[in-house]
Amino acid sequence: MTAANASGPPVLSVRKLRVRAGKRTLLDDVDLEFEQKSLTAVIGPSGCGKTTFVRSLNRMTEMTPGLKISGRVDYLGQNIYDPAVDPVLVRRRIGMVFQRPTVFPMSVFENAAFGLRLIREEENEIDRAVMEALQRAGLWDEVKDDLNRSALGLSGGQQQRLCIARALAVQPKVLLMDEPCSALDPAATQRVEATMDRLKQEIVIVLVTHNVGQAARVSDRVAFLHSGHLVEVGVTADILERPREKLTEQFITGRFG
Amino acid sequence: MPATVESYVPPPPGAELLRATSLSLRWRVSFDRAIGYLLPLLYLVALLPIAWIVYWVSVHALVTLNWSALTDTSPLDTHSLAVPIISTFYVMLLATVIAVVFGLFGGIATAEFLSERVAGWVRTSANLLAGTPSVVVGYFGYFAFVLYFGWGLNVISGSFTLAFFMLPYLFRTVDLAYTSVPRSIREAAYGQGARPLQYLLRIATPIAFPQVLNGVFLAMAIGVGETAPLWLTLEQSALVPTGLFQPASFLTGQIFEDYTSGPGTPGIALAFEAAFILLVVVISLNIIVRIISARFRKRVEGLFQ
Amino acid sequence: MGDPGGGRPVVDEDHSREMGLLKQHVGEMTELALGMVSDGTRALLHGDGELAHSVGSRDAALDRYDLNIELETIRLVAVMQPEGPDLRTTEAILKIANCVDRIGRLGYDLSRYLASTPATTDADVAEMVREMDERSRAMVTAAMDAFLSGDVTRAKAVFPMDDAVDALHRKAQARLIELLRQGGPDSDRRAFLLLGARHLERVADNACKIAEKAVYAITGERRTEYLPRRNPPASRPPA
Repeated sequence: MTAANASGPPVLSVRKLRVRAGKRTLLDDVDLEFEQKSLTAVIGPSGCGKTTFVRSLNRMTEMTPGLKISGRVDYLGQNIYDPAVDPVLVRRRIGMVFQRPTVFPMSVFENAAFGLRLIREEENEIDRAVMEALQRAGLWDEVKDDLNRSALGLSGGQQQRLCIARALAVQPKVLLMDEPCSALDPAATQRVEATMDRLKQEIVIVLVTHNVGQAARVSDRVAFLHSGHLVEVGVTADILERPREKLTEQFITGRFG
Repeated sequence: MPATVESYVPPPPGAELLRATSLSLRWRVSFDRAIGYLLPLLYLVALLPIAWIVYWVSVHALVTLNWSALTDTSPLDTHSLAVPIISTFYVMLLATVIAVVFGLFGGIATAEFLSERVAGWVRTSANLLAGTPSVVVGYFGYFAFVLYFGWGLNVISGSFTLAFFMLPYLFRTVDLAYTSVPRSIREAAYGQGARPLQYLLRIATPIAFPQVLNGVFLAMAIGVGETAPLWLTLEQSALVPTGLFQPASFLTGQIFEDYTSGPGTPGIALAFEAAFILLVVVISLNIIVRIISARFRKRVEGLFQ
Repeated sequence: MGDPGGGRPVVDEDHSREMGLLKQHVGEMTELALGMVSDGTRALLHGDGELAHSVGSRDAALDRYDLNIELETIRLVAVMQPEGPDLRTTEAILKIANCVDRIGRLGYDLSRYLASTPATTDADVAEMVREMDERSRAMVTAAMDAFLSGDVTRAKAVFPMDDAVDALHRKAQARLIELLRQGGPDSDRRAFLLLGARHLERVADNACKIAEKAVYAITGERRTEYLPRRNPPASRPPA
């Protein structure tokens, strides 16, 4: 666990983020910053708002009707919720990997190339970018012999790494990962964690996880959410060894949640 | 069951442990087995009407059916079904195209773009239309296309009316096909930065296509078997239509026209032949639907987890 | 004895129970070790060969405690994957068991120095040694109780007690060196007493270490600035 690289301004900056669904407040006044080349784990009990939080970092909250968002999320200094900003462009810069592998019914190559085709990248560029993305995701060696085989034929862990490659292919500076290992067996989980561990030296990763051990293994920083509030945030070793807040302590020792 | 632990004697090795021991249990097991034999027989009961109809029609039709009955297009020939067959084909084709255009746009709009509230209204309307009796649709077509638009009793009025009748089925199929694209796939596509049109073209349509195709064939099977919508909007003709504003005959109309002729008359023979052809067409379309469904299931195996 | 620290709702009953049991074993090991120290001191002062022998026989039991505690702790770490206070307590237990083991061994060494020689005749030195024994054992007991009951104040109160033991040690050292310069048949005994006094001072040091770990387990503080651990270099016995 390395300390976050503090060079340069934060890549992502969340200020007074508040998300409401009707009368319910899902997230209340969250302030958080994400430094370059770091991995921040967002932990908390079920229903604490961690998925809502991470989805609000790339405006995926707009896919759910009825959510009201206030506050700002600055990506490289620009508020992504500014009315003049196109959410599609936001999602092309801030990638996302979901809980279950979401490969499209296409070949491995086409899956990885999907994002590139959306932005109309040139063909020869696509080939190179796909290979690089698959390498970064740690999948290249397993698929390089037949990139045209259907992605649906891959194992769960491979599919999830393909989703990571797909997200990486467009060179995002931020990667949001919502419990990416929930649906994977321990061996596949370990490979995805190894990938995360490598990637955090290149980009910003925000990892939602309910597995405290996983947070311990891969994250530089841990943010603990409870009932929509950011209770505590700090260097992983500190949070896990001596949490300052009672709620945090109760959560990580498994006394509730 | 033994009352005490000591008095329990375990069954000898190899004894069938599943043998029911109490009376009520044995009765229930027997009843369960009996039902298992009985239910498949009920299926035969459901099969009976269809089998009977097919048999009855085939027997009467195949007596008189021959190649010339199917292909002779001379207008004076009262033994040939060639003209109605070809005309039906044209009318069906046009009706299908119209229904597909409206159904596709309507279905995709409802599945992807309309708010939940409006989508609910649209779906309710489609259901109401689906429940409307065919004669009412035909009557509407008469007033709307034949009289109000002034098109008259011809192919275009008939096709539009029939398209209206087929529309709700297509709409529902398209709506269902696009909404059943797994939500996770949809989110992944948008999460990757796809615009709605890109999502539709690259992701949703390839997944939904087999279902849509299915829907088209099903709608055709329904449409080809309808009488009232065309009967009220299409004037019969002994010739194959050469333009949109011309009259045409159609198979179901043929049956309707001829069924009152007495037995042994050429009219009755034509009626049976037409009925037979329609049965063949509908059954073939249904078979095609089944084949497509099977191939669709194989292709997206593992997608709908 | 083994409460992880008052008032928290305990959901995983089993692990709390195991943790409590582990702490209980550490407490028992401490009792054993302290018995070895006190008996070892008495043996040294009275020249009691039998007592010395009984201390020696407890060495094996001490070893077993040490090993069992280590195994139990490792198992608990693997099974429970402790975090936060549980993690600190686990680390503290291992370190404390180590200290208690050393305390027991110091007692054992004390007992070996004067196996079958007559009792000490230097009453003043004997008194100092006895007092060192009592005080250092009291420190260990206090530190252990503080750890088991989660009482930070009690733990921190152990550190100043070290000053008194250090002072006694210096006095005893000075006196014994003075006596040794006189020579005579009691020189052997006095030389061993000198070593014995040192051992008791080490017991006190270990008590401080236990108290330090107790503070860490309870609060997470590792800072040692406030802990007076060693004699300041300036005060040496007069040459």
